[in-house]
Amino acid sequence: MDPLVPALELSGLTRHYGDVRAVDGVDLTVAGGERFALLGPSGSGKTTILRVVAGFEAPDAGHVALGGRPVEGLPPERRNIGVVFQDYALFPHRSVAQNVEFGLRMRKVGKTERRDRVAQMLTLVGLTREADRRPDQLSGGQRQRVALARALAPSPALLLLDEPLANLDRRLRESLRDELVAITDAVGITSVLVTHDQEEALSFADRIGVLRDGRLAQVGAPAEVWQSPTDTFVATFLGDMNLLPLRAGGPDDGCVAVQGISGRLAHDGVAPAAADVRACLRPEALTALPDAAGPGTVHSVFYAGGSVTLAIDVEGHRVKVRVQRPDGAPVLEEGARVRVEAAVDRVRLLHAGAVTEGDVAA
Amino acid sequence: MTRPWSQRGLVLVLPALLFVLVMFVLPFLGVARVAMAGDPPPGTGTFFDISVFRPANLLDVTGDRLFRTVLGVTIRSGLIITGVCMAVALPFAAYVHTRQGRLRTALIAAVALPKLVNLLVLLYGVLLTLGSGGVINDVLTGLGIIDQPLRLFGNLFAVVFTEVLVVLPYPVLLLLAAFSASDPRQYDAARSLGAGPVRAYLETVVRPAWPAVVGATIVSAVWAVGAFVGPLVLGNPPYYTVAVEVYNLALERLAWVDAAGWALLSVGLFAVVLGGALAMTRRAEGRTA
Repeated sequence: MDPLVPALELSGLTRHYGDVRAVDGVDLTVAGGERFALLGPSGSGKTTILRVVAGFEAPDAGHVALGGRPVEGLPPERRNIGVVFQDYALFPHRSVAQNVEFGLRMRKVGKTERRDRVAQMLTLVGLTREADRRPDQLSGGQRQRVALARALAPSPALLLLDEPLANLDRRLRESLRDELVAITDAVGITSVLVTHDQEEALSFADRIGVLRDGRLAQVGAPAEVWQSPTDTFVATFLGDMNLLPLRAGGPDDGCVAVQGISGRLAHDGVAPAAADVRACLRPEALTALPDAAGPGTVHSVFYAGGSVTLAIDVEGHRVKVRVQRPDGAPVLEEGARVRVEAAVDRVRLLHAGAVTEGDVAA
Repeated sequence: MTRPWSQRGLVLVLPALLFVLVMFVLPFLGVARVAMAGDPPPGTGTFFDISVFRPANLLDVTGDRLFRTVLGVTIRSGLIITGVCMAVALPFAAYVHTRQGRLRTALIAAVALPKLVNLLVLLYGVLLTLGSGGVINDVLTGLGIIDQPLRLFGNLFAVVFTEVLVVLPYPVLLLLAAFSASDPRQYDAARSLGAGPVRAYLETVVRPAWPAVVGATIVSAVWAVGAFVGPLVLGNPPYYTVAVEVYNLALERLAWVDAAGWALLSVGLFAVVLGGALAMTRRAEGRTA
């Protein structure tokens, strides 16, 4: 494939269900070999996009191109796309090896080549010993590996992963997520992951597209989307975020004063003049210092193993502050008087949009 | 799942077991005994002599040319009816399964409707359809395809037509229930792996529903070999089945011993054939698993 030609290109993609606009004019380009994550809450349209790309559903408007070739009207079996489903969708009456072999049989691959390819795929996902087992004799993690091997066996040009880790427990999810990265790297395949889990998206993808109400709110590298969200929805959907109004007055010397936070901070993002502007500060970017005359009071303390999160009432706002404490010991007691300072020297300003409270959005 | 019998399990199966015992096993044993009874003594007004035990009666039945002919007719029409039922039921159930809303409801109602209509009314409707002035002949004559009305009843076609009408709802509803339990994502998965719509449907809907396909075939076959009303009303003597002849022997000629012998041997034969077919299916299932 020509490296200059995108592996996947969506333009003006739109899909309705009755009066509901599930996907609303999405434009997106995914480069060859790229790992892309479509991230969004339930009902944001991410699975619909995947189904349209796979050919399971037709768009109401817009275009899909694979490797520079429009695929309108092309049925799923002729798109050369591998799909891994959330609930595995393995064929229950077939063994692991037969499941993996299915796509090769459909492509009329010769028997010897089929056998070799199945062995190669099962080695890749570490399931050589389970080749003759039925899906119902496997654990959830093993089933998902079979689903991955089955999708990769016919060497598709694009791999679509529809919430593939959602049915697994946390530890297995993390382990399989790392394997997914390693396997897609090893195969060198372009992949699109659909997920509502921001941690999964951030750790899997080269780039992330955040979806809201069928539209792409922001597309960028994980660090870029995390650090420089373009709106308050993206800011709050990717982890905890304090959205705090600015203090009134004062010359704009490139710095702003944020309600509840001591001192002044350099800013980027929108101009600070408008009344609906909010400062975006992640809990990790703040510190709480004991101060008997401080404006804040610790409302509650949440232990989470290596970190402690404080909810602090300050100047009419509830601010979250996260402190790394490997020993898990409390930093401050509930009711303690504190002042909150920024641990960063720059703050991002955004128009509040739908978020009007100006407090923590988690 | 196999578990040792428990008291609770016994309570669950007891009503069904009792029903089968009282309503089928005991009467059937009675039929078996009558089949081996003696002929009624003259002038007694009875239909058999139970004091006589004569198993050789069954050999007489098997040697009866009429019995062998009627058995052959029954098996042949049974196979045709079962084949037609499954050939119609499988695609019909598949089609209904892939439809939604009112169309789906209407199609299910259409196939189930004959079961809600009194059988005699249904047969009258069939006579109206197949008669010389019936719908089919009217259409064919109206289109100029034929000059004279075809004789559409009193033959094998009429027997099969009627019995399919009576039997079809069973395989359709069985298959539809099984198809509806399929996982639509498996179908999508098969399509993405290169299978066309028909291959994907067979792989992910029909194949997992194979036990239901076998069950539907058996139910159709059981009804088909037991065909009575169709052959009696719309057939001719050459198309009479064992069920019709047993009726004639028992109630027209009052030959209860012969009727019981015919019934016993035909039920035994059908049970052996069905059991064999089931065993072969299971063996094939094991090989492809």
